[in-house]
Amino acid sequence: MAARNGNCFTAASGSKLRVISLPNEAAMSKFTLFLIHGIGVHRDAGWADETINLLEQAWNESVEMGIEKNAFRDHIEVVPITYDAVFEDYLDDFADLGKAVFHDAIDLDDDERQRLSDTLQAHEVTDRHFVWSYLVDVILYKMSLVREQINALVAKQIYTCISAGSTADNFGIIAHSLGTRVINDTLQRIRTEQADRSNFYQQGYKLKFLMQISDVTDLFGLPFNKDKFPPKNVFPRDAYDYFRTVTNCFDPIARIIPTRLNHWPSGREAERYMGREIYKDILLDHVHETNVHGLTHYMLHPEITDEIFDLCGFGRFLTERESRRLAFPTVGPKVNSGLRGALHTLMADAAVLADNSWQTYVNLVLKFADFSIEHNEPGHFDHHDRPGSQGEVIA
Amino acid sequence: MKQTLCLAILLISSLLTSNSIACESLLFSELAPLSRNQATAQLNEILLSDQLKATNADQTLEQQLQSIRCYLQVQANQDPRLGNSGTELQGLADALINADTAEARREAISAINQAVNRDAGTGFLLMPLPGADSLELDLFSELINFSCDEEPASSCSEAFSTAAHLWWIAGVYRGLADQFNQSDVVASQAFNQRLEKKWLSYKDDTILLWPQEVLLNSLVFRQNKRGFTEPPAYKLLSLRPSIGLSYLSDADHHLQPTLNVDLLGLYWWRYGGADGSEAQPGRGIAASMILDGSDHSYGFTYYHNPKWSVTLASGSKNDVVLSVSMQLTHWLLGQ
Repeated sequence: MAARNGNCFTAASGSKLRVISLPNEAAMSKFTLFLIHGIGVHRDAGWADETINLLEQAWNESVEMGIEKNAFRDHIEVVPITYDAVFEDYLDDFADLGKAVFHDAIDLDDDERQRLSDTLQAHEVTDRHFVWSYLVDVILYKMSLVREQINALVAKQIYTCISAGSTADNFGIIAHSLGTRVINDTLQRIRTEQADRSNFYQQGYKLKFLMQISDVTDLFGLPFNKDKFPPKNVFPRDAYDYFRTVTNCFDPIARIIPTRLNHWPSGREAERYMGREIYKDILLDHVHETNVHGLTHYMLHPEITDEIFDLCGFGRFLTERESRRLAFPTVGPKVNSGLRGALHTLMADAAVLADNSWQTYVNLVLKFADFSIEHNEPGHFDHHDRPGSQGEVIA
Repeated sequence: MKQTLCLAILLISSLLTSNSIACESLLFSELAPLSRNQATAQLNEILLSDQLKATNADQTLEQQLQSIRCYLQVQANQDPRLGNSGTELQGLADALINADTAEARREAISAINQAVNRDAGTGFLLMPLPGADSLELDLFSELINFSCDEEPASSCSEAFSTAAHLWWIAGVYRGLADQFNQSDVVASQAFNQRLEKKWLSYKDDTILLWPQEVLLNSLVFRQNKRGFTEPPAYKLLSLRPSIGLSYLSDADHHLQPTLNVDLLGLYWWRYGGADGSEAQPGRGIAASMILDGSDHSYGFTYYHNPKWSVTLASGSKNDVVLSVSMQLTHWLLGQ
């Protein structure tokens, strides 16, 4: 029974504890986690499936809540944000314009046209080259017209989701690669916009955290170290409570400009807010896949997934966090055994060269180029013959 | 004098009564005896639950806020750290409820946002205190563990109850803006829809740009320094190739296909439609060059729409060159 204490009720005393229990109709609140992609092809929300699966897998291994509803999807709702359609649209326009000119210019009958088309396809001329599929995204995003359209598109997706909930709900953002700059620009516009024009901050909504994986925010100052519209209003604690940057020292893109702390306000690195560091820079050195830059490669590391779960409000339910972090192998099981020794040597070098990102990366390339050549010479074993080997993992 | 005294007694009595009712209704539905581990698990569940919505329906907003103030006043007697947080919270809520302008309302929402927060991951709460100070309270280590490890079981029991109440109170305040921001939310949703549509229309419903033109237009595009920028109602044309059917006044064959290049031009339009986001048919002009294989002529192009254009030019071999775009040719031949 409850006891009266002044004008209010508090729990009764006794040998057993008494605690206020949940009303029957109370549902589990879900943390909304926005995922923002980087360069490459991301035509629809399906781009995030693999990342979500990895998060779910990590949740199953690391979170123990001791309640009936213990599944990842009971507690975290992942919302993939997609803006690649804008790049694709522009590239399609360029292709259509070119096609229109040549369609008018080249007088071919249907058979010859088909033959030409087959030849082009056979030689993969029609496939988009890496430069066209990936780097062109960065070039297009540097163009203010494209950037504005993308910021408007991203803002709309985020706002639609945020405004469907309550201001008491929790939201966090994980951005990868180019997405780190996209989200900074978008939040800059949102924060400096009027309240009735999607400035959700002035409407009472808050973001819990922003995690920037393979952060390229400062890269956009290139080539003249001049950023015309820097996201200068996007900082903790005004834009979000916590800020995390995640870098793998073998990730060539994140290391073009070591963005660690570059755009953080000086003198605030040690600040804490509500029991956590506001700023945290996480540096990884694992190599498990060819694409060290990929979001899924980052998501393999328990240090990252644990940090995400912690920021989403489940830190107290993480089990053996430190031991899982320490047990995580630096070199993944898919890496050819012949390459492991060289990788470990390189990692030892990389630790010494941590402040010089390009040197680290060049070392990586040189080491593996040398190693690959050695093993392709006659007399050496062919690593492609080994079961489960992936000799091209790094090179 | 006697009448005034009676009135004062009546007023105090009614205030006490209303406080009593309000404070009682702050409690959740039931209390259950639990072990410490069970209590911790249940508190964890409360921290992860959607309690805010579940308890809102029972009380009016004013009743709920009054209950909170009352509860915090009583709690402050037991835990001085809470200080006048109840009064401060009430002040923040009053500023929001009584805001008579949109600006005042937004300021009040912002003040609550700064002053009140909660984090299920760390179990921390942020509550306002008089002045610029805030109370940052760790529910587990500062409230529960402290009480349960240092004090008798009764205090431990109360600590769990207090933690749950404080968590709920912070949640109510974090959700307070929901009841006052709807006009901004509706306007923002419309704004976002319109802005996205307008950008799409800019790109797709007007003349398509070549890569060099995207670069040129981006260089001259003036972005707002604050907030979003709407798309322009023009596109600069530059080094834009197309195939035309041309009449060459002094050539052996008067009618020939030619390569037409817009050197520099402008295409413009207006936005219309219900929400002003649809690009209407536009017009364009450009300084152009026509290459017919043996001569090049210079002149002006008029765009009637993105695909229909007419160029009038003059070269060293042909005094008059009249060229029409292929799409216009197809239409003319089809008539």
